[in-house]
Amino acid sequence: MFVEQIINALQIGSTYAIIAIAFTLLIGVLNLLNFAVGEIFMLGSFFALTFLFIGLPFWVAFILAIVLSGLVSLVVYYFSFDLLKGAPELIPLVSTLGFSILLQNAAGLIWGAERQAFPESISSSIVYFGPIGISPAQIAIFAVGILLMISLDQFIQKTRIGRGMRAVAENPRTANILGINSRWVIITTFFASGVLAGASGILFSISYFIVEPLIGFHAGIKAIAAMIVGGLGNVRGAIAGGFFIGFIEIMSMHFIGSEFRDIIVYALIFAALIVLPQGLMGVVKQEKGRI
Amino acid sequence: MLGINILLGWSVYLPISTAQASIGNAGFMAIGAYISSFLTLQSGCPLFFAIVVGGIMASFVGVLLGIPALRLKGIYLVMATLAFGEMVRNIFLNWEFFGGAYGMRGMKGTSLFLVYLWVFVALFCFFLLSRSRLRLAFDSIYDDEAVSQLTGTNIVKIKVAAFGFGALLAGIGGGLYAHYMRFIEPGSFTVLLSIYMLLFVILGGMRSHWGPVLGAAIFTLVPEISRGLKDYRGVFLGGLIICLMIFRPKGVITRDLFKMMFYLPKKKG
Amino acid sequence: MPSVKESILELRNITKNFGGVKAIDNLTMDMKSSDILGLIGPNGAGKTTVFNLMTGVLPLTAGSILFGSREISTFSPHRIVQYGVARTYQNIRLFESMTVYEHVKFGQSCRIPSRLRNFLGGDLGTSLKREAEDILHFLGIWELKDMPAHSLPYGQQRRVEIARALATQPSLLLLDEPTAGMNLREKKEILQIMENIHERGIAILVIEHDMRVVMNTCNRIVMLNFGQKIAEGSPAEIYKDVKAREVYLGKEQPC
Repeated sequence: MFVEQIINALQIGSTYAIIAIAFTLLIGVLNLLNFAVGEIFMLGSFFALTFLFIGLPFWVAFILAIVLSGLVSLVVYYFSFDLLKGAPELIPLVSTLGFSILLQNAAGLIWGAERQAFPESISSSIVYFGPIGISPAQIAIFAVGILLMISLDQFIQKTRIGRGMRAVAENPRTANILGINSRWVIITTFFASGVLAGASGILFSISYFIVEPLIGFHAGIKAIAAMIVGGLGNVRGAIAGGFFIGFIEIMSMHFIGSEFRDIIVYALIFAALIVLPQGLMGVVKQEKGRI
Repeated sequence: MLGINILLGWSVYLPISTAQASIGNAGFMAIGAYISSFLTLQSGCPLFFAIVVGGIMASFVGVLLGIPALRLKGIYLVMATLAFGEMVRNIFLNWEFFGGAYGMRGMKGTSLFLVYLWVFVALFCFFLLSRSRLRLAFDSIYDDEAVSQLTGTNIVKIKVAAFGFGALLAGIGGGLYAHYMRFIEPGSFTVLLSIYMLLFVILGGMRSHWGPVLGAAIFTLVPEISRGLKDYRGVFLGGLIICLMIFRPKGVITRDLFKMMFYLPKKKG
Repeated sequence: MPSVKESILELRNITKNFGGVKAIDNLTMDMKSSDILGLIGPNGAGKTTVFNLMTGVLPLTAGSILFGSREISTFSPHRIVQYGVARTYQNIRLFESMTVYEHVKFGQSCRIPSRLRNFLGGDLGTSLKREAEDILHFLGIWELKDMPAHSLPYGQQRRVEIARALATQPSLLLLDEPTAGMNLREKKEILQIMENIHERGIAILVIEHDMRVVMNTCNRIVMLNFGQKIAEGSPAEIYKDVKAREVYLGKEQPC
């Protein structure tokens, strides 16, 4: 039983880790807290739902949905960032708040505001390894999650654009002087953020079988918690934080009851920010360049 | 309701004047609301005092929050206040003493007079503030905190005070809200509400105390006007915010606006 | 003008490490209240770091800073200002929301006993008002008093910055490259201002790259390189100092 809970934790943890990364990318490279990311998470899920509905095979639906999510992210980029040309921090943030409201309501209009069932797209029949029951769906989710994380990590470390991201995160002006096209780097970052958010949303819906416009907001909170606990502005920290939050969530649901689940998460955010701000901020300052 | 929204808008305006963005003020509002409701329902306390006590409790928490908040800049403060607001809501959600998910009901009503009494008291205070040296201190922190400190400003005192007084206003607003609606539940105090309060200030104008007044007015009256839009209201609101950030990021009411208004007549004369 | 030449500032063996980098290395120097001391050295020598250490922005790794015999290295910046140290900045840092007059008014705030009534008071009491006007006239920016400070040309912005610093009633004024980016005429004007300030009894510690400014105004010079003091003395002495020459060989014109 306990092991099964751990597996559940890994499953949901990888989902949170990915959306935390989606946030972190933009924070690390642009110092932008993009509230719309939560809604893109939700949209990814709805897109996938729609594609599945019209009969597309699962993996096609998945890929289409995450690409579409990336495009939505680019729209956000254009209106909340590009047009604002480097206004003080708060302004793009408020703009993304506007997008968040807009997207959440738009989703409600297009798909309806009630909870909808996400079809069983991956077999959720349980396979038993001794006393432990795992479903292929869980394995798939975890695998996809890890795959995304590893490929992102490699992307950032090894490819040219990835290195560009790190350079821009360190110092946009120097990066420009060194010939790195900041604009393309930023566009790529937004796109990647959107893709990841959408993917994470789909994985979430597969795990919990639901979709509704509100999941974006809750996901956003969890992602913020993950980032704060794991280390701000830092992809590996986001991953660690995501798993940690997933773990806490499953464990507290199991042992304490789901009402307190949220409080514990928030209290954790709080404690982390208050007790460790030097540590965290120190991490951010030193690591500010390193995504 | 307009009066209450104005107070709430001002509660965010104060921290913002010292460059502290807070989207947790619904939490302070909730504290004020619940405490004052408890006092009037269980102890038969006179409404006025109940609201005052609620406000003071909220400001107390505000100061407690304001001190560690000093260490957080920009987006990190946003995250922390977000967490705070949600935490408060969740605490009340699970606290049977305050009614849990059901909330508290049956408070006696408040009068328009009482609401606007508070509004005018606050307005008077803001009026004094805007012409005072304290206002310069706020501005200096907003413009360049480091230099402000190096010119003798005790930024700790001022930033925490701004935070605390903001919480006070939110708490009072909460108490008034509770007695206006006559019932409250945790669902009344969501992050969305905090975000709306922030928007009153940002859309209405961040650097003048009239900004939040306009912002509150827009948010209170427009829903009535845009009834016709029905379900599209949310979309409309989101789009409005995005456009405003593009075209008028400082909000509608800016200091330049005032200067323009006052200098034009002079030129004619 | 003080007749007794007391020591107003003393830096004793101060060291500042940033991670593994020694920005300031066992620096000792002192100043009298009648000095105009020039702090010179190549870029990166640590001059601005000294300012930051003195104003409480950065903590000392080792050593002590005494201001008028009081140890101030652990004080918070605003307290140090209240004790009488004010500064200007290499890149002019003015407040965007304020007019020239408001900058001065704000600078005076730290001297007003912080009783709420006083704080809320809009207009300054008559004596403060007169002082503010005096500072503005002194710096030659009286006519500009209601202009938004950031809209002024560079040279006048520098004056506003100095006015703001003076408004805090300092006994020691730290100027960080006050003549940077100015033409000859403007530099001479700043020199005159510095002398006027000196005549009022305020000690001045100035970081400068232009040796003409330094040689003409300062009565003592300290040269830093790599965070260490490598020369000290009157302008004439420094001029003759071989080591100092080496550092500046080919970089600056001798006076």
